[in-house]
Amino acid sequence: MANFTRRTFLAVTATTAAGVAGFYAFNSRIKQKVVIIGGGAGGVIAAKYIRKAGSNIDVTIVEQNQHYYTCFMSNEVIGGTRAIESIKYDYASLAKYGINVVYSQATNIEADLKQVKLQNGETLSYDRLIVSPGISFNWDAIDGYDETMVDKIPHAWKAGSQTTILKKQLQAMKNGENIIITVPPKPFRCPPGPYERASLIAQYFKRNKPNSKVIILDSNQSFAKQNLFTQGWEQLYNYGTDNSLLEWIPPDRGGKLTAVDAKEMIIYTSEDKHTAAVINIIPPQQAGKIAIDNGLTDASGWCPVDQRTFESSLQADIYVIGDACIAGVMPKSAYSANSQAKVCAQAVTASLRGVEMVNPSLVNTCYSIVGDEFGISVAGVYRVENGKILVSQGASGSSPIKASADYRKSEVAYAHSLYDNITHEMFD
Amino acid sequence: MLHQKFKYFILIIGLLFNLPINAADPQIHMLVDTCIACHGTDGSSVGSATPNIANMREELFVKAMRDMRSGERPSTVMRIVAKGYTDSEIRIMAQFFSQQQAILHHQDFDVERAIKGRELHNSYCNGCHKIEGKTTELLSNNLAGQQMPYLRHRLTEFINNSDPTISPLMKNALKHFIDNNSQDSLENLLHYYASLGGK
Repeated sequence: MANFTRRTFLAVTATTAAGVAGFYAFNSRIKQKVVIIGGGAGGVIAAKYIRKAGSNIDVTIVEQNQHYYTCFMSNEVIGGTRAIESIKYDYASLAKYGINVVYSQATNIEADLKQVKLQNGETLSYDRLIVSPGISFNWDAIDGYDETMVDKIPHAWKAGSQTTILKKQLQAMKNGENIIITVPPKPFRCPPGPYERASLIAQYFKRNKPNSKVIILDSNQSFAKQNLFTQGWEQLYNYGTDNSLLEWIPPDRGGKLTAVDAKEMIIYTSEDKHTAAVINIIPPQQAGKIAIDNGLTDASGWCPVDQRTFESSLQADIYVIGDACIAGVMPKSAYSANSQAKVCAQAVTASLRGVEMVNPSLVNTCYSIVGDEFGISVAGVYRVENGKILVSQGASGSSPIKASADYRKSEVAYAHSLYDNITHEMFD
Repeated sequence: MLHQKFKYFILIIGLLFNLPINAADPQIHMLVDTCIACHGTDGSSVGSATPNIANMREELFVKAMRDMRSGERPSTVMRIVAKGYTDSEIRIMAQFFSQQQAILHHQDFDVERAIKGRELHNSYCNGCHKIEGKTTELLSNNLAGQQMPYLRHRLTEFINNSDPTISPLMKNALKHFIDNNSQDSLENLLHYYASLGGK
């Protein structure tokens, strides 16, 4: 105590003050806020993993719908082998992870003020913003078709009421009537999705309306898992014969959609006109509206991002994941969104803590059901090299073209198993 | 210098007693988190075709990945996915999952079959596939709570000789079992393992 001079007193006081300041600096982390726009396969996983990595980060999801219908497996609903209730989820379980959910639509991102305006009048401020809005439709792209007609000519490319409408239209068809599915130019959500849908509708026809037919009018000359789909169609639906339940018309045979007469139910292509009892137009796509309206997209209509972190290349502290972003060679799938969300969660957490982000590791797995006992898949492992998402060590491929019936059947079981696990991870 | 030695000491002690690897390490999570959309949260599957990999023996995990990567063991997407990771990454994943507690999810099962299955398990299987505590054999999988369709698929592969990576021990044990019982009574085992899942 004898040595306790004024100088030491000051030093001690200063240390204590620094300690207190440090405490508050640490505590201020409690107030670090992440806002996530979109409660789908990307957004929900990002929220959960940020909370898992740092319980002192405040996470809020902005989602316009009370219920979420997974697009994945919605083709089984359309084809009548799955109930719509089985793809319906809500956000109630997220509370137990300390995730806030605001049911409203994000209308405006004020990047300079780091805040998001919502339709309900609320303003949410953020330290980091994750945008996971999925897709929007480019309604100007098709002459004669827009969003006012989706009850009559459904797109069913966002699951929910649209899924049910298409299913009911199929059920109301008479045996011998046809359905047209139009496929937009790539890229679009779920590259094999249109062909899985065509397959499962063909399966429904085989069982219920054997004289009916699915006509695919494609804007693309080739498609995902094409040789596998073709094999399945040949085995199951007489594809390539006069009795085929399916017909695929690529652009060089006049498959490219040019205009629609919704009143008369006529589809015009570059070379022909087609009519059918049911028409399913899958419209051309781009990133979700919020991304387009707020300067997160480039000329392609999709969002360029840093391939390591998923931070927007166009705006700081805003990250874009899932279907909306451009993620190198990764396809636009639920599994991709799930995997990107985990990488992004780590990037956001690292950025908030001011530490270096670890090396990203990504996976995609995507199944298509061609028939109840015929499943096919693609899978890929990805890592980032020289700022690009690339296939890791050649780990990319699809089901073998030569495979046993048991193999195909087992892939259906794996598809359902993946579905149960990925939705459990999101909503349990 | 001392400090450095101390670090090694801790590391060696850790290895000796198989202490948990740093589960919060972001690089570890970056790797293992890619598995769980198919295999369930931290490796406990609710999907019926995908195996639980939580609490899987480290050596078995490594062997399974290598055998599927080489194509020796039949698989679907895993023959592709396993290629994407280096040996050291596979080792990290194996260590992580071996240290996860398996959550055994509920499955429907037939009580009578499960009771018969328990007796059969105790007579034929428990030597390697211990239900209480960890299995002693390095390459024996945990069976409690594994999903029935997964186990059925795996056993079919063994019976059809479509998986040459089966251990001679398992091959002989399976033959012995079927010789003394029947192929159908294998189903009783599955009901027993299912009965060990949650409510």
